[in-house]
Amino acid sequence: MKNNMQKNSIKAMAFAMLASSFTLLSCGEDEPATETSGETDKRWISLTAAFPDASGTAGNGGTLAYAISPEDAINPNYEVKIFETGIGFSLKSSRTARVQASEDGQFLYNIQYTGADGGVFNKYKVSGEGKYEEIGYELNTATILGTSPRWTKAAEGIGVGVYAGSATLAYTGTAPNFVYQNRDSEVRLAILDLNNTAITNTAQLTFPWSDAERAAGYGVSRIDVPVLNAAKTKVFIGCNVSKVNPNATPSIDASGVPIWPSDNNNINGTKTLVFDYPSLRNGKVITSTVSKANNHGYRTMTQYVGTDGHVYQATATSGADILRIDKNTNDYDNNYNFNLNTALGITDARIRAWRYIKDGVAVILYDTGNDSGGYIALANLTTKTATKVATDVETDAALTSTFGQYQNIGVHGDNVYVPLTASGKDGNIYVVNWKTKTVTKGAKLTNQSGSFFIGAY
Amino acid sequence: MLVIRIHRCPAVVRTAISNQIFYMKQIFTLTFLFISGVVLAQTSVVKGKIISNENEPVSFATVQIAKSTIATMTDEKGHYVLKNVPLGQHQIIVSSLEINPHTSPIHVNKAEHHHHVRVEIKAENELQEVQIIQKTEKKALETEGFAVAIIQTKEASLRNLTTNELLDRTVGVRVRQNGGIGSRVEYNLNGMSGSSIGIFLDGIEVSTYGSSFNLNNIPPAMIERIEVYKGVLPSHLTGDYVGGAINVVLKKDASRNNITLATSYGSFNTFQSDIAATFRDKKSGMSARASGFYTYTDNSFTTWGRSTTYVNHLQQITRPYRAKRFNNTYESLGGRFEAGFTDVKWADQFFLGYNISDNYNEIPHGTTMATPYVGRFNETQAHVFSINYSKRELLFKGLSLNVNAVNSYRSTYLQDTVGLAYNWDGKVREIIEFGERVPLKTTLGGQQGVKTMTQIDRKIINARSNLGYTIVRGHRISLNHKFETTDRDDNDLLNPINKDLITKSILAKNILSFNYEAETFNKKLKTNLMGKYTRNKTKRSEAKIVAVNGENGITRKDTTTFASNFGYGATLSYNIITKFFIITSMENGFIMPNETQLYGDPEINILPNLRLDPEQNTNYNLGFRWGTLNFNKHKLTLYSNAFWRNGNGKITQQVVDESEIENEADADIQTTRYVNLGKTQARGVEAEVLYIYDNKLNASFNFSKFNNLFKQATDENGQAHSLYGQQVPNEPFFTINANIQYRFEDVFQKNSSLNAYYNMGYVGEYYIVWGAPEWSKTPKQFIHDVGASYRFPNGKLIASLDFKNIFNVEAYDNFMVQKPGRGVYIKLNYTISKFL
Repeated sequence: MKNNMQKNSIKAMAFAMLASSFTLLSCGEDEPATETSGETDKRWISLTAAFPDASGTAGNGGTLAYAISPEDAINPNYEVKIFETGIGFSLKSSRTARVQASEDGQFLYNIQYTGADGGVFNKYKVSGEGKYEEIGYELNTATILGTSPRWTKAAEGIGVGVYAGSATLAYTGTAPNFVYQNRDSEVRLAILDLNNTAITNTAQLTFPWSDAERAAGYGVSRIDVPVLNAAKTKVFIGCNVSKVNPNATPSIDASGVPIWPSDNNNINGTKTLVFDYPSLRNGKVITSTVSKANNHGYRTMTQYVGTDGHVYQATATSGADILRIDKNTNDYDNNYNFNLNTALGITDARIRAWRYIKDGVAVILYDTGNDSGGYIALANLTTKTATKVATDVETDAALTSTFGQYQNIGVHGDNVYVPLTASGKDGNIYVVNWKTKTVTKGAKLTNQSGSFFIGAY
Repeated sequence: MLVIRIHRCPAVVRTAISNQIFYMKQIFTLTFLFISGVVLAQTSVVKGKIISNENEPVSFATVQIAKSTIATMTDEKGHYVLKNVPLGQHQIIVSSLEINPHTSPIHVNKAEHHHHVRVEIKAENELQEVQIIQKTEKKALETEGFAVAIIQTKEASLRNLTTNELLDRTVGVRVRQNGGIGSRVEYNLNGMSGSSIGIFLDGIEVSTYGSSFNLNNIPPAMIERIEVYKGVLPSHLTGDYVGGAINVVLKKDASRNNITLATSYGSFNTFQSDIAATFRDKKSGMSARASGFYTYTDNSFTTWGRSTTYVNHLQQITRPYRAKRFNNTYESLGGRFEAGFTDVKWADQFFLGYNISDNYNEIPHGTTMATPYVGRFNETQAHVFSINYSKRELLFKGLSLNVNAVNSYRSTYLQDTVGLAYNWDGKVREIIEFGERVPLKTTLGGQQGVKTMTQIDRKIINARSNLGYTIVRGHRISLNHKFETTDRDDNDLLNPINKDLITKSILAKNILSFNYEAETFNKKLKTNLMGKYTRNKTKRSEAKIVAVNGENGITRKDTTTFASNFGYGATLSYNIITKFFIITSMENGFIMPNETQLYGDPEINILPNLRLDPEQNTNYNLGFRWGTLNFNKHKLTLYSNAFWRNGNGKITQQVVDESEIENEADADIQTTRYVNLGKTQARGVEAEVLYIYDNKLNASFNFSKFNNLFKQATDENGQAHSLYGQQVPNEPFFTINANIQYRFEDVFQKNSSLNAYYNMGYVGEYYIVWGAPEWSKTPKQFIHDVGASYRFPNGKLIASLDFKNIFNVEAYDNFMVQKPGRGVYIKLNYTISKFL
């Protein structure tokens, strides 16, 4: 094993050298400035907010960003009127932007989601209160990842974009006696160098199912939330798994193709796609025996590297579990399970967004199937305990829309920044000191109909 | 009044008026009204026939008793009747736009006289005068109460202009084209667009003819005129349309033996030719007309705007980038053959026709210019058989019948099998894949997605009949029936499937409309009431596998669904003072989703949406038309119309929302589908001024400005919608067109004429996403064209030279797709008039 690791890190170094040579090569005369003068070391908290699309779907239209200081963020007398004309900075994207940020809050990264430039990556630098400027190269990811890419910052300075084509059915035989073969999909991956704005490696392959999984009717047509392990030798990718029953009688769709009935109840566990990093070779599927819920998130990151070096993965956005991928085996540690229901003593909780902070402490946004509303919990993944952090708005049913699009929880020092606005209603930034477990109702967030704040960075 | 104006411009191209029966009838009745007011005690009736030196009857010529107000017009067969002619010596003056004025003496001394006159046909004559007569004909339509613009194509056909360019210059019309010649077109009539707009060819939906025969390739030379109705439609164009319609009236004239040829060549390797021949046997009434066209272009224009990009192997984007378009060849060939009888006892017109067209169209990119395509193309072909019958005074007086039916066999082939991604420099893009720099493969094997070879065959029957009855003079009722059915057969040539298993759908559409037209208050008031009943029948048959005793078998499940709706409308035109008409119309109608909207169309990247509801629309128009006003040599016409369109559940093309569909690859800007986009409202005004000086200078100016607003008041949670009242994105809403034309006589050679043209088009800026952020702005566009055409003294040859977009400015349309820069085109037209 150790040998293998060594080999991997040699490979990784080789790739890193290759990648940096490309970026060095590209440092031509028209290289855009990557650094700007000004308050470069000042910490800004960027807030993002989404407005509705034309068919009225809340938060599905476009995204605005606004940068404030941590002092203002915790100040209840400070007000952010992001939707007022000329206030919020319009991030390029026809639909809700998929925003990521650097750890120090200096840079925002986004890949445009649909629209005339769908699939184009843009990098922004905070240049003052509410101000941003676009820097670095635009990147074309569309041909690799499509015009509505799934991507995350998988480690500091490294973005990973993922794509799975639709699981297309292969079968043999003729009507009415069709024989099921597989539902393979095409997978594409891209590594984005966020510092130098370049795509430094990509992969294209057929979804690496085992023969048994393939024959059992498994398919994946959406993958998301890639994260690198602590050693930066592996990338873990969440999967939206579906299964059909190949032994049942198929029906026929409009174009005359057989469809086997869904068999999602018999999925054998949460699945994660694993590749070597940065070679993107040796793809395989790992399966948890602890949970069956999907882990691909929807708009939010579901996995983080813990202080202990293990990867913690939430079965967001429909499950209540946080699973662990062991740093030594790079496979699920089926002896570990954090269950939010158990930790809080409730039932039917769904993790809608979360963030690993430090030393096993995490903040979780959740709702439950039993009531409407949305809640914050502070959890300890080591002791497997959690406490609810009360907010003024937690029982508001309109938080469901907000949580559906929630992207990021901000962390700076001992404070966690959670903007909470129910769809169409004003709200506040809730600042939670994760060490003292105190919550402060911070800056007021002015809202408009069909809109809400979706993240702090 | 009209009659007198015709006197002033006596010479005209003969072909221009021969089939203007409808309009001339109005003039005729006006004249009738005029003379019937003259009452004299001792009078006579003078009858006769006017024939030409070619022994043909001269129709619609004015016959007048000199120095009197007694006048009439000849009918289609050249006959005239002058009543109440006082006894005594008179001069009879015969005049028309197509003949030399003729004066003959007559001594009236009995109750009835027969007086036949032989007149001389004018030589081919000048364009300018064509326009003038055609204005009088335009006027008949334009003062009926509809918000209508009539485009004359006669002059444009001699120039390097496409039908779409002509339309784009028309008041209230914005033609939105996704690139160069042959690319996809959408028409916007004062904020209404998409399926709410009907595009007709002689009253039959142009889609029946397939994309190989549409406004992209039908040359203006084949067209008599184009009627653009905004909002309310007349009964001969009823359909599922409430936004208005564009009706292309093809040339039907076959009164003289004539061949015209035209060919043009210009920038971007654009070659266009057309030919037309007409023939008529005077004795039998047998007529024939044949016309054809050929278009070829590489569309190899340069783009340099921000949508043109270069992507290196690290996928870093350089923009703007300067590139020449490629994979954009468009080739189109079409012919139309008609034969039948005109002016025979049993029919005013009876024609059988065959229309063939063939198209090859390379698709250079998707909805946006983000990714250039190589090797994606479609081929379309259509064979259309038509029958056309019209007869007035059928069975008894006042009853008329008009039938127009076509049977179309059209096919579309789409291929997209190139699996490499390209840059705008025409070279294959590169990427680092598994650590190596390699050519970039597309994800699904095609340029736009899945590797594709499909063929769609359609059989369409489209028939329209109109039965009209004039109860008494000035009161007419008519019944209009339209039937349309489409049988569609999809074939996937790459992955053939058992067609016995596919779901089959057949849609049959019946529209019954009724209208009542009245002319009252001394013919000053024209009203038109319309009712429309639409009924759609959809037969759908799905296959199903059933297991009986462990054995699988196949059954089919058939369902038939009906949908119907009733709409109504009215128009009113009131002639307040001389030449001043108040024009107003209203309509309340539904639009059923069409086949493309429901079932999608892969060839133009549209996904199916079977959940579409009909769209409900209420439209109002109020405007006026004033003119033509004559002051010495100055002529002026003014027109303006205010409109108010309300759409509920408006059917609009929208980018597919990936969360609603299973197939991730479809979640792409390059694929769209039609959705019911809540409530919208377009409110605005359009206006046009036409000015003519001395029949030499001809200037026009028009503009259209409106607010196309999102009017859905509440969002999905019942709260006030934050987009309420915002301008609907990606739709231009302010356009201006101006053009000036001047005619010089005897330039270089005697009896020649030179026309010089200048045209200006302006489109105001608009945004392509909600919220109007700066980065989504489509900048304002200001495009200037100049041109000239020269008629050689023999009148047979006309040469034209056109410069388009002379300042080479960035021109944009849908989703920032850049349109051609500066271009130069030359065209030669030749007419052979005596060959038999």
